[in-house]
Amino acid sequence: MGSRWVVLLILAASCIGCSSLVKAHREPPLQIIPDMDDQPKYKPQAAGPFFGDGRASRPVVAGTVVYGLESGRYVSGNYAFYAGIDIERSETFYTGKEGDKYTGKNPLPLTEAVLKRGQERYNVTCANCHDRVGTGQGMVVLRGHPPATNLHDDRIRNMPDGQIFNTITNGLRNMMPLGHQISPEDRWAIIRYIRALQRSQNATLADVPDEQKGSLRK
Amino acid sequence: MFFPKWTNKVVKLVLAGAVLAGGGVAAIAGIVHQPSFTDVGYQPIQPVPYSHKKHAGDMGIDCRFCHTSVEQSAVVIVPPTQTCMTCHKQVKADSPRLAKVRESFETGKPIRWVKVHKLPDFVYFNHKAHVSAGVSCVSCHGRVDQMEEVQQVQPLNMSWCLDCHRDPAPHLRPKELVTKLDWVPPGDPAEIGREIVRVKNINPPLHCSGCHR
Repeated sequence: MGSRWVVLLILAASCIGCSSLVKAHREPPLQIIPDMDDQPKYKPQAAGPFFGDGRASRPVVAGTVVYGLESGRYVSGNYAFYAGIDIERSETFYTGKEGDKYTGKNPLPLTEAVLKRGQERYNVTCANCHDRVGTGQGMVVLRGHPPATNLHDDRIRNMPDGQIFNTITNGLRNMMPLGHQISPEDRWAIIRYIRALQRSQNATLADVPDEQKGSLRK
Repeated sequence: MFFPKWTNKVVKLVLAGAVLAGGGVAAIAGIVHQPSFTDVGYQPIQPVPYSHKKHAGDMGIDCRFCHTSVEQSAVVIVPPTQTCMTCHKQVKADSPRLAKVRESFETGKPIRWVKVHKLPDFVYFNHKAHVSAGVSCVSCHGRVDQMEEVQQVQPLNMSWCLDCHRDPAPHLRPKELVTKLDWVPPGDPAEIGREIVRVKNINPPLHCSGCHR
């Protein structure tokens, strides 16, 4: 009698063990010894029963003033902080507007660090639709999204920086708002990079430094 | 005599059986409860059949487009429905597979994605620290860009963490390549990593409070 139970138990346990070893399993991992793996606390984005919408984390109340990350020189995505760039955090910095008009002035300086950051963020966020050169032939467009604007159009080249900032933040026509995904300083860095892209696609022979003209092919 | 003589044998048999059974169960439990046994392969059914292979693999969308907080925060966010709608307001806007996304967008009620990679609540993993050191997503999450459905591929247990903390070099790469999951090191990964360790002065904690508080 005893030995039969032993055999059964061993079989049962090894079945459980092997089933998770052999292939993907849909059930949450087996916890034979749960220790303190699951504590009565909420982690970010966890579900919770207390509020009606089922979220433990609360959405930001309208009109909340950000304290900490963006309030000082310590900036989220803090290349500006490490690059030693002191940004004036005015109304214009967050809206792209001076009064009623769009500003033509980018609050970030034109430095290599800013351009590099702008390039990285552009490739992560914008290139999916506008493609890495900016002609609007990104992968998402090729897969069925309505065409994205060619950033080398005269319309965009002559558009004030502030208006591009506003478009990134709030979206326009088919472009959905991206303000929740890109911090304001990154938006300004992206605009710096877009300007560089535009110059690159509209360059003339006069833009090439003299010492490199010899290496150009006709 | 109340008990016949042969019952002495029964007692011995039962005792021996109990010892054997207990030992067997303990031994098997010891093997089976290893995370490499129980956790690897976990592939929950998600409320929306989102394919990382299609989005991150075929279309080449950067991990950080959706998982925006990875470079700034200990916790990486699952994107809000708004991020899905960046494209799906237009693309496949009527697809029944996206019904829950549209519903969430209209009502403001979040989609209940199921967490795949769950660490014990007493572990405080910091994504920002690892990504800025140059640990790629692929080191812990595997080739997510090839997964139709996300599955856990690494055990994520403490000894597995410590393997890397004791010798991080082979797992490091230049920071700008962290989200390039198919990156192949041009040469000896340990050598590339050692240079990164030297330049960034990387010294992963081995003491308890490095990860536990």
